[in-house]
Amino acid sequence: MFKKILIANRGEIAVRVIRACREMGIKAVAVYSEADRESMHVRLADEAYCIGPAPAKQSYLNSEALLTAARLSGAEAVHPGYGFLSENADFAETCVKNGFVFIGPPASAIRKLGYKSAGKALARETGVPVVPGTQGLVDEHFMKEAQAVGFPVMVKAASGGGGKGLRLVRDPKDLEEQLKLAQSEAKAAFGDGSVYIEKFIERPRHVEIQIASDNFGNAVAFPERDCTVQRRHQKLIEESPSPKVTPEIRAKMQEAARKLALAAKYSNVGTVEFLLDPDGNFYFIEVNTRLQVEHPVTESVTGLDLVNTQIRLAAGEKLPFDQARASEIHFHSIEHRINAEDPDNNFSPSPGKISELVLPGGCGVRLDTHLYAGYTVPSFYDSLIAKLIVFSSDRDHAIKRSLRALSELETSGIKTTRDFHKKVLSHKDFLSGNFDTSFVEKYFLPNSGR
Amino acid sequence: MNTEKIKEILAWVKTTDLTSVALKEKDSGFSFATSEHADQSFADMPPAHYQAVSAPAIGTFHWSRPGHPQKVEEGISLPAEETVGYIETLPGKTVPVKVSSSGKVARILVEDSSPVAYGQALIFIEPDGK
Repeated sequence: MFKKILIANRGEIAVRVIRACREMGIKAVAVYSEADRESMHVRLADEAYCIGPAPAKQSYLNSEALLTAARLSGAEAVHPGYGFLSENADFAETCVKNGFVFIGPPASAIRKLGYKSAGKALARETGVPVVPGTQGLVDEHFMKEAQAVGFPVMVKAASGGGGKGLRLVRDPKDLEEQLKLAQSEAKAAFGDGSVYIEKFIERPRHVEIQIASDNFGNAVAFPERDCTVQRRHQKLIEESPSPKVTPEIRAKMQEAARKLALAAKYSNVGTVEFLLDPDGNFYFIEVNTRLQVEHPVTESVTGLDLVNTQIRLAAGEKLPFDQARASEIHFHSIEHRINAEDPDNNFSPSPGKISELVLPGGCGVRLDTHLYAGYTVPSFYDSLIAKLIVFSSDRDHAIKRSLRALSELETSGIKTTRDFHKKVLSHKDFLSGNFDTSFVEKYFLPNSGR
Repeated sequence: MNTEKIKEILAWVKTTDLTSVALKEKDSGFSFATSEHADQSFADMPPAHYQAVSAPAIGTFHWSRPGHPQKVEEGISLPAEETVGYIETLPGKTVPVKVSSSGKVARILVEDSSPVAYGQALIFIEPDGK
């Protein structure tokens, strides 16, 4: 096992990894930017190195500075956390070239699964369902191709993102016009007007499967996480098990995710994301080749420690549990991402000093955070300041526990999304479990223009 | 910095738990410490007009490339943009350490081949004309 690990990240996830290291008797090395000098991960680590100025590009995204800190500290392995360089195949490769173990999948698996088009191609080869669509770009035979996919369809920009070059077409007679509009929009936004067509999945839920695999050909898939509550594709609430996934669907999704992991010769942990339609059909979207923000949901449901598992797998150990154990559902768990944002002002960031802090606790409550009273939330990074995770014997009680714990959380000095979570949680559709990915925009942000 | 402003700051300091305060504003400054902390505070405080040359990267500091002797000593004068040392980051990669303005080397804070963090003060320069 490693004696020392460098954590190439900040905030709550750096704290999470340091905690896992402590429990395993591994020394933890923190890195920080000038804006994070007073951050909790710096306080908790065994050693800490300032690697650059506040902008992430010059600090947390600076692989030369990160690996120099690893060299100076004598760390043997690098944990990338999530975000920043966690899904960067070049960084994974550079770690290995410089003699450090990258705590994540090998660069080859990141390239095979992490890049959207490559992941989809592998899913098709492996027989994992993907959203039906044209195999490549559409040309003059667009109508024939769209008919084959089946209406309603989405026209999507090949070099797309952020909703640009995206058109929903329900009626075949609108296709030609919408296709042209999408092409010119894509051309203006990305300098590339090429588009493709995909089936539009009505009222989808976002459901994902956590996987873990070792270097000995073993792979397991955990119970699903339902991340349907999103705002502008940012997850807000995640829960497990999903109120709409039956044991049959779960088994099929787990099998699909395992097949993909084995086909990509994946090792370490990862997440396979799917869209689930109201009829129980699911479609592969992409793979996140790293630890997820919402990993504590799975930890709470199964009682297994995913960060501990990651480190053991990276050290070359065999998977410490089998599929039967990974599938066990002991609790219902819900996670709330608390952001330093002002929900009344279009969720604009709300950095600043936290003058007073009261943290929730009690039975079935876990709080992953880097906050302390007197801490100043810097304006340079992601606005996630805490993850409140609850678990209980059933969904109804888990919701009550969430509401109770959210009420206990107090952060004076900054605006947070705490009350927004309480509103969402109390909505009749959330309570009944009948909602899709448009839920937040539909009921809570009616003027968001979506 | 005028006397009124200093008085104002000291009055505020008395309302806090602070035992020492140092302030720098353009080319003037002052430091203050309660009696039990006075010794170390004053000893460590460089004069306000000194300029720190800090590490532009994390790494191992070298005064010179291997085989070349150290040129920088306290008291010598350096032109602006002069390279005073190198920081070795990864094997075969170095970042030069440069002086931003001309002046005399007032204090050396780092030893050859020692690890330095980003932003760490390496030497103090007394800029020309002060």
